[in-house]
Amino acid sequence: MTVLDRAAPIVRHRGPLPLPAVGLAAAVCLVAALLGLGYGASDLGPMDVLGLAWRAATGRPVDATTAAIVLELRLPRVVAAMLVGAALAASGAVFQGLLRNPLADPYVVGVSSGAAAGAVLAICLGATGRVLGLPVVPASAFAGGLAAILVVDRIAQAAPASRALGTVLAGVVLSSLASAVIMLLITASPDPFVRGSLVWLMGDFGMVTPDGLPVLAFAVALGLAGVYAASRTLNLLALGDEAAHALGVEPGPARRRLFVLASLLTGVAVAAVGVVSFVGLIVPHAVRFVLGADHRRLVPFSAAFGGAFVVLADLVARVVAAPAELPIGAVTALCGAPFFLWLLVRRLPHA
Amino acid sequence: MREPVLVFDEVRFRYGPRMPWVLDGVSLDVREGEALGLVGPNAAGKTTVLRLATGFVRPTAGTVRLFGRPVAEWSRREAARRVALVPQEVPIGLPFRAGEVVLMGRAPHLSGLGFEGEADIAAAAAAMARAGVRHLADRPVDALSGGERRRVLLARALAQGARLLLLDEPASHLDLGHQHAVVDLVRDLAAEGVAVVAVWHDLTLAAAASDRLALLSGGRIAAVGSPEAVLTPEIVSAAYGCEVLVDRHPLTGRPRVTIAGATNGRDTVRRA
Repeated sequence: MTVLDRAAPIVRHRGPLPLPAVGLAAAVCLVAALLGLGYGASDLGPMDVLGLAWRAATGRPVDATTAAIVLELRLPRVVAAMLVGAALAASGAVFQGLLRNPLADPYVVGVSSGAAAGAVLAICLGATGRVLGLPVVPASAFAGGLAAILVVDRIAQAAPASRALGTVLAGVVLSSLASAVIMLLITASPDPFVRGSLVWLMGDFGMVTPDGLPVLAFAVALGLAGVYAASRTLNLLALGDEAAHALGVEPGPARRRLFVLASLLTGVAVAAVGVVSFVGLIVPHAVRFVLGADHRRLVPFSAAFGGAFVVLADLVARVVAAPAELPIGAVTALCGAPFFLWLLVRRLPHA
Repeated sequence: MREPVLVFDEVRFRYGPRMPWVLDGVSLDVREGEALGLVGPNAAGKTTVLRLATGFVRPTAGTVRLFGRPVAEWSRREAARRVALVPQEVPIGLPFRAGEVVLMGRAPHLSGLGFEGEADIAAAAAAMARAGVRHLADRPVDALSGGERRRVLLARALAQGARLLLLDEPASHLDLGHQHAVVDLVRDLAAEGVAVVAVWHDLTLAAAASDRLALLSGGRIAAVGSPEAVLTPEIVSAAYGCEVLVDRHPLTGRPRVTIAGATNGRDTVRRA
């Protein structure tokens, strides 16, 4: 028997979904959902929600007011938070892989602000319905986000030497440009409701309506499925275009496909609730720390934990200054901005 | 007669219509079990030859054939099962572990989401052992030294199981012992029937590792043939613009090239 036979396995994790992590992700999502449903402006607590669920499950009569608050007010919000978090965290993982930059995130690279500008533009033009069956606001947000990432990627390619920082700088500048456009559009709008809404810049789950959920759910499911299907390709692209090419991937089309999917995820999330920053930065880093960099695990687990994270962040936003509500983006920025700075300092010698 | 694996026929290449020619009429062929060394001064077009061979860039004129078919006619995956590349450097920003990177060499053999099976793991482990990086499997690649990372990339290419191996300066960043190991590895691979095309910075290593050398200069092949035929003081000094001394390596008997400095040129001796 040689030493080789007894050597440690060459990879720690095999196969798609390590069961303990799946169990943990499911438990965290459930607890987050229960907490999200269990706290709010009214006095109903988690135990009331559990009681309601138990009564409904065993066929006993339920209190109509309790049911209405939980199902009509809180549930859409929790579902939306889960979907938005999953979308942002998964697209963060994609941007980090494609830009080969651990600092990337839909907000940092300017995609969120681009999407918000797209959404606000559609609203100010009065195009809030559907054209050819497509809801215009999310579609316009998607287009705005895609335009932003294509510009940023172009700049990153042009300056390979300072790629990591160049990407971030380009994203920051694009973001402030998009924010200026949003401010201009909102201020110039004759509609007093639009004029008063700065929620686009900081995110607000108060905008969520049950009618908007099917579109959001469908687009997020589509985007996540597409990104997951491409996650092995994403591994290869993360090693560089030439390496990916040598390993059997045509890098140009694969990158464009992934940029479209990630912009779709970010676009529909932003169209639903505005800009929620740093979720796509924090969550993939945490998942990567535990489960490694392989995108075949990183993408699905980032989506799951991203959903739970945003549900909890929304809960904090609702209760911390109750009865007033904080914008959700303020909560995520309070967690995410220091984390970003820490990453930046830690990586500066290599950047 | 051994099969031609890679054939360049009057290949010209430039990056754009108004750009200078990077390659200006290069013809080459490499056969099974042959180690071809590409040498030449900086910007001679050596890396471009490798990029044309993988199809990463397309010839502006002329044809490149892989296993008898023009490169462009191969699907990417089919080509990647036959041709493996060790690039000079790989951008690493994410903390992949060395074992994961080597396992990615199996990518052309997987489809869809394709999780690797036992055979892939075994091939990757064997490749790591062969490149001397088995013990680094659990280390993040961005924490490895330059030389260790080179050998991890070499292991990834070996794991690919290709019949044509393209190496871009395989010995750079390596210490003496590992340079020697790479030369031995190239010899062994050629003996197993793998065709190896390698760009070498160090002419003595090139001579030790290669059956034939092609010296590129200004986008053309200045000389091609056995190491003894190509590495003459006249040819080398004309291409590199510096005086050299060529003698025989005391152990391998292959040409050994020593820089003799910019003396008046008459001091150049040849004892080969």
